[in-house]
Amino acid sequence: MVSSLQKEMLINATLETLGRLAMVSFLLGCSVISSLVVSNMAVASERPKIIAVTSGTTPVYDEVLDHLNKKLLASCVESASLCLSVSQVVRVSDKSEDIAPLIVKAAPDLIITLGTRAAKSVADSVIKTPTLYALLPESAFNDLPKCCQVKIGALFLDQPLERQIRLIDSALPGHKRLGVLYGPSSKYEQNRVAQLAKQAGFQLESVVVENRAGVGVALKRLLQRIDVLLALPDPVVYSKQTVFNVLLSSYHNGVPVIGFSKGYVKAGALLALHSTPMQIGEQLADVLGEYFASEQRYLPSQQYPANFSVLMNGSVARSLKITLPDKEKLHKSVAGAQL
Amino acid sequence: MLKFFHRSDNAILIRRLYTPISIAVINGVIIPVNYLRTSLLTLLLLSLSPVASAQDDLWGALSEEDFLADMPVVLSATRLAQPLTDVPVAMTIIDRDTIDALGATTIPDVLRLVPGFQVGRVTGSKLTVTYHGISDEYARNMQVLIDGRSVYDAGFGGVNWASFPVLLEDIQRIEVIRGPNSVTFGANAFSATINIITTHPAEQSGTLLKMMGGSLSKRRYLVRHAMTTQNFEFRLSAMQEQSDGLENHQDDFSTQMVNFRGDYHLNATSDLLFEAGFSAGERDDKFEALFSGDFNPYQPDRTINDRQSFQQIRFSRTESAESEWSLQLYHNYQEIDDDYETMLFSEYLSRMTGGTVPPAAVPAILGWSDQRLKMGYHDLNSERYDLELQHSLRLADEWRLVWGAGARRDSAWSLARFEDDRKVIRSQVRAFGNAEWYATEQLVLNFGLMAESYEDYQPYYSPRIAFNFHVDNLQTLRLSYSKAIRMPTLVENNSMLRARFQDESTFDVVYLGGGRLKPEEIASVELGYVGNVPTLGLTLDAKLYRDEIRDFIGQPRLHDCSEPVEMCAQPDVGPILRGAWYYSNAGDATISGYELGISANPSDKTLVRFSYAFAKASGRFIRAINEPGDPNPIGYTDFSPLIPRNTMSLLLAHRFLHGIDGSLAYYRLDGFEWFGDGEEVPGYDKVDVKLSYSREYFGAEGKLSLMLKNIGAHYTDFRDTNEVGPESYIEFEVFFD
Repeated sequence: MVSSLQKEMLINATLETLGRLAMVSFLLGCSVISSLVVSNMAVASERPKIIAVTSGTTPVYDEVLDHLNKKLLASCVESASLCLSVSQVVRVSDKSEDIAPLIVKAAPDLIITLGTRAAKSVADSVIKTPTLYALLPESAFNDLPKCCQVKIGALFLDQPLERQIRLIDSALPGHKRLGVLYGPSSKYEQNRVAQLAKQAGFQLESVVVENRAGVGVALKRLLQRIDVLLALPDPVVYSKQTVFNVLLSSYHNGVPVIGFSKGYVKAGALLALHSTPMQIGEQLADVLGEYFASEQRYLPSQQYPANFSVLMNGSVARSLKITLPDKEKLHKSVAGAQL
Repeated sequence: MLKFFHRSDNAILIRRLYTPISIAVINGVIIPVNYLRTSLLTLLLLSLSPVASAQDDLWGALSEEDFLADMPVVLSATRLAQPLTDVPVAMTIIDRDTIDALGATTIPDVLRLVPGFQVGRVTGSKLTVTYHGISDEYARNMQVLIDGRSVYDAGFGGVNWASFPVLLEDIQRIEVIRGPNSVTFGANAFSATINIITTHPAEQSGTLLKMMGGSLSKRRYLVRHAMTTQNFEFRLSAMQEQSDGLENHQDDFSTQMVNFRGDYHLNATSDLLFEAGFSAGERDDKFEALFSGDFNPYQPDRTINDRQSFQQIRFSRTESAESEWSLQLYHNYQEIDDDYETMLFSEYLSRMTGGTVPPAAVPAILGWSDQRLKMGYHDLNSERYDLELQHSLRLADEWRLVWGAGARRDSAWSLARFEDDRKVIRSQVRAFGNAEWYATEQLVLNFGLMAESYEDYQPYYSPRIAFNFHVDNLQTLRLSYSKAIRMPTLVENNSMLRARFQDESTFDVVYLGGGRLKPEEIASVELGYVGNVPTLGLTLDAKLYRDEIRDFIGQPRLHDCSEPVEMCAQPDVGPILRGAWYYSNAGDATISGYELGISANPSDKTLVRFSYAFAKASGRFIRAINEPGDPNPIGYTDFSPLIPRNTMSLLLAHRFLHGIDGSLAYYRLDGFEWFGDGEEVPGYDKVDVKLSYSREYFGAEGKLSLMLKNIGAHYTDFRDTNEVGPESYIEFEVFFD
């Protein structure tokens, strides 16, 4: 009892210090006119040095880092194993400059990038430090130049396609005519989607559009032949600009949309799978733990989010006269498919 | 940008033979030039025309932004149709597919599908729509809204469907609330409410061209362009229509219309909706009945010009799916220009006697020199300003609430209709609240209250309470009680329609207003059932009801001013030569009956809609205040013949292979009597067929349709002389991005 309380106090105290340091570094960062911001934190010299490169100042990067550090600290306290933490955060701004000198100076054992821009900067910097690319879509990772790094790993933001197909199968058992509208970024998924849809017994209807102007007509035709639309992330097909057309037309055709983000469900998609910054941060912590614990320093090459939440839009379901299974049950059956 | 106004190379000017309007083609949008110079809309349109930024196709790669970006709430509570099982009243929804399948060209034609609805053809272009009969050419007992804007005309009452400034092609769905609904929309949502929701321009992106021609020299042309930019979506539609109207009638007409809707997204939570429209019509009119013989000196052949315009702006803030605010302001304007002169006395006397009465003989016969009288039967201008704030929110999982407040100012003026060309004004303020409580898994309780305060009237309260009991997932029983009012129209209260001498002094009073009539009141009890059969996509809606109507406003024929009638007490009421109509609270009625509505999609290619209504009325009202000395000083009439016993409709539509669509519609209406200028007409059967063929050419979608209406039928509608026969039309449309 006592020891766990002490542990908790220790965690809280450490977190507070970290938070304060983060604030100081943030203020420091603001005062630097340079587009690059470097913040330093106290590091125990015997520990491996991990630095994070983020794609800007959007709160989501800090949230992920926050949960990552919390989890690292918690496992440090619990298991008294190797204590890890992200000791330095490099923020890549709009006018991205070469961050190589900064990284070289920091001499980290591992780099974690959060977001696409950070990933690009690190990949472009021709640094040989092992790198874990996170919080980026799979297609963005595939587009990265990979010439020099010895070890790279990735934790994608996308939910695996299998999981999404399983979601439709579990939530909408009667909806077997599956529609997918591909754009320039998502069209490479065509074969995988076709294969998975076939396996799960779906009748797949798909259209590829090359630019935004083509979305309206393609969607209109597609909607007449399907009873569920799976939205795969693609900035041409699914953007703020097309969201009104996509969601209104689908709704008026009685076709539920399976979105890919929290925003899409809020906007009017029926369902989506989503991993929170906490889930991603904690998964990163696990990857780091395993990496530094293993002798070969093994970095899993490509991972999808292990944990996720099911998001539902109850009013849309009601209006479409769709009775969805209980959230917990749905999560269970979707997660079960993973194994 | 301004160069367009100088009609430079970018603007192609076309003068079409068939239309008096010049049109200009600007960036693929056809705009009537008449409106170009003055229209702010055009300015707005032109400033936005440079097609969507080239940037968006360069965004290229996917990033975490696509997963993390906040999105606007598109399917907000107001955009989502409430399932029939949850609504506290009987409701019929007509969606876009049904409208397309029908091949209707007017909104009233579509409303024939609604249980208990009757449509009357007053002239070739003027239609009247009523729920449960008891109506004349102005169906005053129904509220009509387009995108939350009431288009009910406070002047005559009802809706001028002929120049209704919205196009059927732009309608997403029509929700018809069958039953009193003052609790949400205020006065005049009396027997029913027609809630029209137009399509969001984001769904219409592209250009639509449509033309139609056929029977009765009908020609209809339509062009619409809709565009989506980063934060703004809009459409601009224009329509021109003309026809000879009914056979053997002087009711040729032409209508022009422009309509604009813009949706601007200020940010992820706030939107601005802007709508505006303009319509102008020229309608030949004449009314034969009333006087002996086949002519009526007060309503000769003439052309009535009507114009309608409106502007609407709504700011809405959707904080979440649970909380939505809106602030709306709109302005409606209607002008019916019907100032004309009657025939000369000598001409009148000649026709009456069948001989020739020389002008010089007139003073000896009538006591006046030979002259024409000034008249304006339908002449009226009316205007409305309305401001409303509304908030809908979810208080807890089982509580939902909508509340709001608003203010309105209606005015009407007409030299012919009102005394001294004065402007008649009525202001209203209102507050309302409606709550939905999921008391248990099965029981939903709806209750609400509308409080309205009108100048010169005591406040009125319209409540509703409804219990929806979900028998199971697929069936709901509903019991509801509601009250509503219909305010007397400005015409009903203030009429002083006179035939006037050239010096404006009164020759004969024809219509008299009731001064300060009591509003009609309705109390309705309804037992409803909604059942679903998901495998057939079938929804069945049944309703059993009893409506008690009090203080029905009629227009008894008043023999002369010797009776103690309020309006007659005014010193300047002139002589009543041939009797006048006198608007007054004339009686109470009870209407009861049952209704059935079925809509089904047995497959995604087939659509079935069926409606049946049975209604009967009891009670009587004052039809005439007879001459002194008449054995019956007051003449009563029963309400019963004013309601058709049986009303039925059936629509079958199927999508065949190779782009061929077909539909068959059948309507049956029992005989009944239309009020006002209408007459008792026998029942009729009506069959309409539509066949269409769609094909794609070079990315453009073309559609050719053939519509046959009233196949093999000959019937009279609204009045004896309105003969309706078979009609056929052909329509071609093309849509491209």
